[in-house]
Amino acid sequence: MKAIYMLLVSLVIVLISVIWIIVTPEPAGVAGAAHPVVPGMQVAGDGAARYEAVMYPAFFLQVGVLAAMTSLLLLPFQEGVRMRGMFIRLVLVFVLSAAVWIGITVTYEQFLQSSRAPEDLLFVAGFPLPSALAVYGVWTVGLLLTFFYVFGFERFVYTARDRESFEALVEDMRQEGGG
Amino acid sequence: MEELRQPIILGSVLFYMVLCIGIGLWAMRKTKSAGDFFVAGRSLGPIVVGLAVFSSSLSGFGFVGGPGLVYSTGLSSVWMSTVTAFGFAIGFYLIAKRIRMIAEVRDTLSLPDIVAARYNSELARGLTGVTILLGVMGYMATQILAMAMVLKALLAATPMFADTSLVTCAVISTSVLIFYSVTGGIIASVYTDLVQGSIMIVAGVLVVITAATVLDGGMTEVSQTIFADDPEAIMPFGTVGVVGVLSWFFLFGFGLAGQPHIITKMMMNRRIEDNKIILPMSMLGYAVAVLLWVSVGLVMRAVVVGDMLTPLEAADQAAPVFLSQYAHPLLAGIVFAGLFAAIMSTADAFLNIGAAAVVHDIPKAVRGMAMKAELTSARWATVIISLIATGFALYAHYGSGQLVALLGAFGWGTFAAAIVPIVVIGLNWKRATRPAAITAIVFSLVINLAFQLFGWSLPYAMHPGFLALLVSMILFIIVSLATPEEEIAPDIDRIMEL
Repeated sequence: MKAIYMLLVSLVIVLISVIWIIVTPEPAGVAGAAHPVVPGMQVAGDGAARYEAVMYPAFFLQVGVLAAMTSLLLLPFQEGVRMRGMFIRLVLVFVLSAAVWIGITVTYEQFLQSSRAPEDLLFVAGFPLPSALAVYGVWTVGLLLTFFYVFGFERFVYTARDRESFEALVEDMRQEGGG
Repeated sequence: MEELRQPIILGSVLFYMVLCIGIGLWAMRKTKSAGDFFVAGRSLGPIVVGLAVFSSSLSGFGFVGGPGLVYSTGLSSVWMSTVTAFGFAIGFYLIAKRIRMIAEVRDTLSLPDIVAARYNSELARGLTGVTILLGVMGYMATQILAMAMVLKALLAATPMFADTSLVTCAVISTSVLIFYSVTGGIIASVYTDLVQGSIMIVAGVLVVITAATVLDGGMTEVSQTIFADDPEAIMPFGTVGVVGVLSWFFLFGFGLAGQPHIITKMMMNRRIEDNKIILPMSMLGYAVAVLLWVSVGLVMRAVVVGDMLTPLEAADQAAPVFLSQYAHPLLAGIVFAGLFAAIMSTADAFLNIGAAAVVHDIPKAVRGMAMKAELTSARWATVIISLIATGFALYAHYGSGQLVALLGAFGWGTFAAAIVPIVVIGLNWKRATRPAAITAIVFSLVINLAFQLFGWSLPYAMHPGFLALLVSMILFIIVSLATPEEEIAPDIDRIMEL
C-alpha cells in the first residue's frame, strides 16, 4: 500500500476516534477544576471517572496518530532501495512508539485500579512509571528517528546519485538562464 | 552576592541588548541584497542554522508560559514538548532537503515562493502570504507584550527605575529588536539566534541542575509531594486529561513542520549535507529547554502545594519566582538574558517572514512582481510591522485583548493547518493539486477563525487547532485524488524525484 493511502487511512481512524469522543457524554471536571486552596492551579479530581469514559477512543486515536506520523515519514522514500531500507526502520519506530503508548496506558490503568497509595507506586528517574514512559519514552523514539536520519543520510536521504542529479539540474537551469 | 542580584540581572539584560545592537551593525555590512536580507544568501553553516531553528521554535513560552503551564496543570504539557522530537524529524525527513533544493534552483526568498513553485499558482502564493502576515501580527504583538512585561517586572525591583511605564518598556525592547532586524535582516537574526540559542542551552542546563536540588530527595520527592496533593497532576495526562493532551500531541507533532519562521531557515544552509548536523543540534537545544520548562514548573508546584512557599499570584510567575528564590544571582542574570533571547529570537524570525510577505509575496501574487528596491522596502516593512504590532500589543493590554486574540488565532494552529498539507505532503506527493492546496489553506483559516470569533470549544479539552489540522490534511488528500492530475514544472518534478 502506498504511503499516502496509509496516511489517509490513519487520519480517518483519528477522525472516527474524534467523532466517537465528541458523542461520548463528558463526565464532570473532565479538563480539571480549580485547586481548592491554591489560586491559578488546577486539580484533576477523579482520574478513573474521566479516563474510563474515553479510554477506548483515546487509545485508537493515538494509535492512528502514530500510524499517521509513520506513514508521513515514509512518504519521501517511495523508490526501490530507499523504500525497503526506510520501511524497516520506520516500522521499528512505529512499533517502539506504539509500545511506549501501550506501556503508558497499561501502567496508568494499573495505577487507577490499585489502592493509589504512593508506596504502591514505582518511581523511575523522578517520575511515577506511567509518567516516566511519557517523558522519556517519546524522546527515545525521537532520538531513534534522529539517529536513522544522521547515519542513513548518505544512504537514504541524499545519496551520491542525488547529489549528481541535483548538480546536473542546477547546471541545466544555469544554462537555460544564460540563454 | 545576594545584594548584587538586581544589578547583575539588569546588567546581564543590558549586555545582551548591546550585543544584539552590535550584531545588527556587523550584519548591516554583510546585507547587500534582498536575498541576504531574507535568506542570508544561503551561506550559513550548520551550527548557526541548527541553533537558529531551535531558538526560533522556542519563544518566551518555553521560559515563562511553559513552566507556568506545568505549575497550573501538572504534567499535561509534557505531551506538547516531548512530541517536538517527532516534529523536528518530520520537518527534516520531509522538507529540509527539498526546500533547500528549490531555494537554489528557483532563487526563492520565502515560503510562499516555494508554494508558488510547487503548485505553479499565484493564488496559492498570495493566500500563503496573507496567512503568514496575519499570523505574524498576532504572534509579534504577544512577543512584544511579553518583552515589555518582563522588562517592567525587572525594572520594578530596582527603586531607581520602579516607575518606568509599560509603554516605555515596550519602546525600549522593540527599539532594540527593530534596530538589529532592520540593519542586518536575517543575517543579524540568525547570528543573534546563535547567541540566544547558546544562552538558552547554558541557562537550561544550570536551571535544571538547580531545580533538581531544591528538595533533598530530588525530582522523586518533587513528584511525591505533588502526588500527595493531587495524584493525577503528576500522572501522564495531568489535569487536562487524556483527550486534551493527545490533541496537543497531534497539533505540535505535525504542526512544527508547518511553522514558516522555522522552515524558512531550512533554505539558508550552505550545503544540503549540513542537514544531518542541523537536526541533532536543534533537537539537543530543544531537549534542554524542555527539561527547564518541566522541572521548574514541577518544583514550583511542589513547593507551593507542600506549603514551602506562598501561592503565586499567577501561574506565569513560576519561572521568575523560582529564579528569585532558588537560583544564584549569576544564574538568574543568565536566565533573564536567556528569556529576552527566547522572545527576541522568535520575534525577529516573524518580522523577517512578515516583511517578505509584504514586499515580496503579496505584491508578486497580485501584480506579478515584487516591490521595487526590495531591500529598502523590506527594511521599511520591518519597521512598520513592528510599530503596528507594538500598537496591537499595547491596545491589548490597556484596551481590549480581542484583536490580538483574533490575530493570535492565525498563529500556530493556522500555520500548521494551512502549511503542513500543502508543503509537507505537497512536496513529497506529485499527485497533490492546486485546488487541494487552496482548499486546505481556506479551510484552515475558516475553522481557526470560526472557533475564535464564535467562542466555540470542543469537548474533553480538545484543541481546535488539532481539528483544523486533521480536517485540512484529510481534505487535501481527498481533493487531490478527486481533481485531475496536474503537470509540475520540470525542475520541481526533477527535485521531487530525488
